[in-house]
Amino acid sequence: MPDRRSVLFAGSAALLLGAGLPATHLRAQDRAEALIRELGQELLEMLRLSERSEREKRFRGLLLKGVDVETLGGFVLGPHRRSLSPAQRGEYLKLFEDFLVQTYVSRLGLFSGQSFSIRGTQKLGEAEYLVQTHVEKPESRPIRLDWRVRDRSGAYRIIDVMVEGISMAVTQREEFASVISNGGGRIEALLDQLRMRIAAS
Amino acid sequence: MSTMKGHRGAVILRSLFVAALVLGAGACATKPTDPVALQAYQEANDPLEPLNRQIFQFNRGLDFWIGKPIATTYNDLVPDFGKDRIRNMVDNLREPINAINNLFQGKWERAWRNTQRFVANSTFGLGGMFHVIDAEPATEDFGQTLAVWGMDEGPFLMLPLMGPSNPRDTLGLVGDAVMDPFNIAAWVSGAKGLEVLGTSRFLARGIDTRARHLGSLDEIERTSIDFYATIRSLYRQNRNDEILDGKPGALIPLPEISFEPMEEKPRPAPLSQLTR
Repeated sequence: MPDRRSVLFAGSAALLLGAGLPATHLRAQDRAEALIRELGQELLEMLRLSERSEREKRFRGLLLKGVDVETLGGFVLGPHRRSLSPAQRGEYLKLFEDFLVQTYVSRLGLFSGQSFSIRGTQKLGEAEYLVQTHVEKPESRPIRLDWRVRDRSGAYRIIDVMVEGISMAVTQREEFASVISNGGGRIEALLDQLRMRIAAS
Repeated sequence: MSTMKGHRGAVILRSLFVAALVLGAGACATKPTDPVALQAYQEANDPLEPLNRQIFQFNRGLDFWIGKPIATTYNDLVPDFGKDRIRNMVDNLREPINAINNLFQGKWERAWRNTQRFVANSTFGLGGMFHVIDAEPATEDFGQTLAVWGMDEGPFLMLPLMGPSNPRDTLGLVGDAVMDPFNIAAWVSGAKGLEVLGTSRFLARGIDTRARHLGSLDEIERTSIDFYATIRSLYRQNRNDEILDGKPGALIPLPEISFEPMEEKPRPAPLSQLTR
């Protein structure tokens, strides 16, 4: 016969777990949303800076804080990443970070002067969320901007952004794959292009 | 279109086809044997890439000398108010095609929305210039209908003048032209007025679309390493989004992302399986 104390313990544990589970679930979704809310505001502020070098500096900070650059860089390289030497991998990730800064500071300029609102958050998988937002500009229909956020043991990081259902990660992956296959299947062809691009700025 | 014009159109089409065949000889990309290169080749799904790139260059030339200058002039000369009226009119003339395709796809509510919009905007909205009804637009085309019916998109194609496409969407263009009530009326009656209307609609639609994308396309071109590959990717993803009507519930399973080779998950299921 189980003694009263252990029954009581089991009961309160179940109660705690039962009450705790939905709460943690909600909290994860809220945390993903909070990340996007904060980053979105900071991005809009970044776009208001007049100097391009200032914008790039600010954006790099936001990128390193909010985006899982390594995971994204790996996905974007596709199956080719297996052939990277450790030294190439280090250089690639650095080039990729610079490339993202350069490309997206410029592309995000299309959104300047607009406001954004969060529409809701959807659970995608075990530890993944899709935070759906709208970029609003007066006199036209809002643009759908969805952020895919992954929970890496408590650290929330963006791994993809979708504009009107178009994944920036997939687009970048297909572009890089094309550069590599048109360069004779050599990863150096991509690294060359990235080096040139970054040096030209 | 009159028989004369239709005939001329056929001649142009035939010569383009022949030109494509001639250029196409030896323009097929060779299928690689290396497994990594093969995976990249299959993901690109573009066996005609060398020919497609040539057509892309041709289209860019046309755009540089004709498309962009006209669109830029249009943007500079016509005030926003006028541009909105033209866009509304062009959109309104497409509502019957939207409605038919929504019916084909069994989307009754959307077809009803198309009908309401068309009737209200054509009458009270003065031929569609003003959108008097605030129902969300529900655009569809026959390429999307074919996708919902389960047809695969097939390999990527770059069409002369029309731009990025694939066999399914090319068939869709033909289907839309055939089902368009305004085209049918013009063919049946042979009335000059309807023919002029058809041509003006085609031109207005082209100029409006080009003008709308002036800034964003320039931006993408400037920031791309491989503009062609970027356009190819954007086109495909945009079509998938349109087929799913931008529904968040119908999101394509997002690819797994990892630097660890062993964690690479298979590609998402083909779209045809999702829409069915």
